[in-house]
Amino acid sequence: QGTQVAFGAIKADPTLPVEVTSDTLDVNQTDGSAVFKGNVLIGQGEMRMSAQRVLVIYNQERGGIQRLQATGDVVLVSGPDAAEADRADYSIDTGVIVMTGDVLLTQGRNALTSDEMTVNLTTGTANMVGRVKTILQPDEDN
Amino acid sequence: MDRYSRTVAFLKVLLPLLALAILATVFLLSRTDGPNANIPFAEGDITERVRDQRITRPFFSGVTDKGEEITVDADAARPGTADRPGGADNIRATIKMTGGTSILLESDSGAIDPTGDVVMLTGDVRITSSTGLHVQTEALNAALSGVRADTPGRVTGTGPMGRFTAGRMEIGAKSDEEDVHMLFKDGVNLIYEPQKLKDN
Repeated sequence: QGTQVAFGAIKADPTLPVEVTSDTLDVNQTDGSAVFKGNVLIGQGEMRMSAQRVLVIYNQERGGIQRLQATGDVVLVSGPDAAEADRADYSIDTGVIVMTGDVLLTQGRNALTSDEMTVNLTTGTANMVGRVKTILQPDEDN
Repeated sequence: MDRYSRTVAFLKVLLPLLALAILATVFLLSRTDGPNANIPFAEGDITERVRDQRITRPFFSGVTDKGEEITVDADAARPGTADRPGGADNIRATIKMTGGTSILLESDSGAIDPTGDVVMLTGDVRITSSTGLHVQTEALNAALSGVRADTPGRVTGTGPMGRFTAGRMEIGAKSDEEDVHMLFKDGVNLIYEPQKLKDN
């Protein structure tokens, strides 16, 4: 159910190194949780995601990062497509980003809005669910 | 008196004397390390020690009112003079937090100023936290009366979230009730390699 759209130019490789830049990184010394704050930019291959705050969630058994939880005007860009939302959960191993909170997806001159969108970087597809609205711009030039 | 009894008589005198002589030398030939045995110090060491006072293996520890234990120890410490501040070599400072986690600060040299409530670590400062963070920097100032530390310069480090560099680092808690945080400031750049985890 929901609208299936293509997202991102190429099939992303989830094993590429992930680079994160931000103003500050705060590591709690009791439970070890790490939070990036202040124009955080996550980059991996073609994908760029920016947000105000990104929480790192670790894999309990295998170690390493299980997912990055971005909140605060999240913008995801991959190839020609861009998506905005209030929150995004990016699980690195599977390359799946779940965006929630009035999602706006712009592809070229078309725009789609919905409550939630699941982007799969490895297959280059996005699935929008919840009050999906599409705004198609008629091409004046042809 | 025939020859035999003369020799016996002579031996009766000679042998006790010999015994007496042997007995006397027993105490003379005893081992040489008497009470004033010399302490094994190199010559240079002695002149150096005479020139400036030194404390070997100094140890300083305290408990903050929140219950965090701070212990500072070093290989050697020299008290400050008018022109030269007090210094210490191979400093190790361990902060044990109430939650059971701990932070270890090590450096090649530094200075401890208990009255100014600060220990200044300089020269290849290494910070290791029990949450898996290993941070290196050039200098770090840590408070002795509480868990507060900061680095004036850049830090590089590795942790469960990857390799990172940052402009500065601060260790501390915003208020007494809160947990202690390691805050990396002035621009953070981190690289996380998922690939490495898949191999092992």
